[in-house]
Amino acid sequence: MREFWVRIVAAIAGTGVVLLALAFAWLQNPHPPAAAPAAAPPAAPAAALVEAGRAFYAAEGCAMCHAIAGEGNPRFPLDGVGARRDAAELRDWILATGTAAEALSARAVRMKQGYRALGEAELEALVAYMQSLTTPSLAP
Amino acid sequence: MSPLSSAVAWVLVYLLLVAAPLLVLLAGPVPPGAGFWWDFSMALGFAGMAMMGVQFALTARFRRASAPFGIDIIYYFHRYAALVALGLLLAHYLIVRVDTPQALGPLNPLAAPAYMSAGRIALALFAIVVVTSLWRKPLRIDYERWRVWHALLATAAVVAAVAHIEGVGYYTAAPWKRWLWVAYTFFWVLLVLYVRLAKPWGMRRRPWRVIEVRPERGSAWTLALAPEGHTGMRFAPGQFAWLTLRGSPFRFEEHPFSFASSAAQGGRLEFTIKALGDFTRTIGTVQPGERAYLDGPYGVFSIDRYPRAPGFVFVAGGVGIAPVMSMLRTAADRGERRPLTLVYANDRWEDVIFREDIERLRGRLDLRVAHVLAAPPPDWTGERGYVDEALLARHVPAAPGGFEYFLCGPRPLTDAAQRALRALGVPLARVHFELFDMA
Ligand code: HEC
Repeated sequence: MREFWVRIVAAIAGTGVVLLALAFAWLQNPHPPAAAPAAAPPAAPAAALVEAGRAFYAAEGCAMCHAIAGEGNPRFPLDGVGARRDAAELRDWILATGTAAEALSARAVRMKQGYRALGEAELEALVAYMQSLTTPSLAP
Repeated sequence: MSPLSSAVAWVLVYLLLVAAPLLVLLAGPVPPGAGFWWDFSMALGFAGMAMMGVQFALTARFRRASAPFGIDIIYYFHRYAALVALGLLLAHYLIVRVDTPQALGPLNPLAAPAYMSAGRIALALFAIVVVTSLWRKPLRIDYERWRVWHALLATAAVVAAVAHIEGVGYYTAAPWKRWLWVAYTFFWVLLVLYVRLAKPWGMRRRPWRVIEVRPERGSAWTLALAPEGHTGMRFAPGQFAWLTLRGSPFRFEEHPFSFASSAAQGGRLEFTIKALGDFTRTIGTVQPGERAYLDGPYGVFSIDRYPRAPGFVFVAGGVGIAPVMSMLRTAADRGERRPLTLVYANDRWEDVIFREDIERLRGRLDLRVAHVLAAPPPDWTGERGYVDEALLARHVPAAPGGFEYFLCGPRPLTDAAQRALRALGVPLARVHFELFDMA
């Protein structure tokens, strides 16, 4: 008898929190996100440099905090960032220098400070890759 | 408050504690949505952690909170809740793994940020804790060692998980939420301090002394304790306590045993313990004068919960007689007049614990006793074999309106008795047993 109630209470607790989690996710994302574009971002003029930047982006684990075309951490999407920011700003945001340093959380600053050890060539490639991201995401 | 309403109240407290972090999340301000699956996964992570946190409270043995249910059922619930919580945490991980694998970063802890490794470690530790608990016996993990590691690994898992949440930090960024989360963590720490320090401290201040160690039939021992410098423990017959022998209460080498003595006599207490496991085999070597500590009383397996019942039926097997004996002795001391029936199963007649004491009690109580022997002597005329429906039908009062049934013994016996009673039309709510594996 009592074991029966145990299962009931455990089930209520489990379903209850899952429903709350669903409610949270649903309230946070009122519109069903459109399918993320599957195509790679449009190629920019300096295609070789952009390709190198894409490789560094993957190698440095930027996707742990950022998403591009729906891939990676959707919390901070980078789609369209190339249209939004110029090269100097992008550099600041990647390295957490200048005004970006104040806007970023302490933890992000710590991570990004690590990128200051990157070589100039790598940075240039990353910036070029960022600049190639001119299409805003279809997802909200 | 009646037991029912306080039970409902405590269940609500539990549900609220588990839901609290999510309610705080929902209450905003939150970072903007990052996609349905992502946000769902994050919320599941918080929910799983809240449940894991409350797991500590469930085993802190709060007497008030456990009284309406019985502490055995709370441990039972602890197992279920752990599975649910682990499921939530796994879902949290798997959703991200499937939906946005890049966000996980590298697996290699040398390359991964510490907070991501902390999350992976927490998940692995929680899984280990659950697996080693559910399958402790098949994995042949010694109980003592398991208890120590269970507490250590569970605490380490929570610490790692909190580090992970702090490290990610999106949802805990708002200062007041951060404080709430810190307070929540602090609450767990306080709980651990309470269980590990305050409680044992209280036990140390109320020591007991072994005054007698007496052999019983069936390689069991009766251990009599007397309070040292305090008034002792008031318990209801059928309840149990955690007993610490030859060690400090801070070492948590304790074992639950039912009281076997009468609850109507203050001071001296008795436990009857069968030599079955590593610890119980050493009982016979305990000397009068040794120190003991008790944490109790606990449990709802007691005739005292049913003052209006017209009579009681007990089905006991082997050393499962101990709590029944306490109820019978107490009933005799109180001059109980209601009809009592005892069905008592054993293998051999020589091993029937309390055989003579039960015989004597029959003179003081309206008590019918049916001994059931699996290996009876040649001249045995009583019941033989195992407890089943036909056997119970012969001894349990027919269509007994309102009787309460107490089952205590090895699992196969209590399971069989439960089935038999159900077949005889006894309502489930009238059948009581401990969910502990007391051996
Ligand atoms: C620890 C997490 C983290 C990592 C790792 C990280 N970033 Fe960021 N980044 C952030 C945060 C947080 C912001 C601020 C986003 C915002 O406020 O919308 C940001 C902002 C940016 C921006 C500006 C975005 C905008 O919308 O204006 C760019 C560009 C950027 N990061 C590039 C990178 C690149 C390239 C890497 C890898 C070399 C990287 N980041 C690694 C956390 C991170």
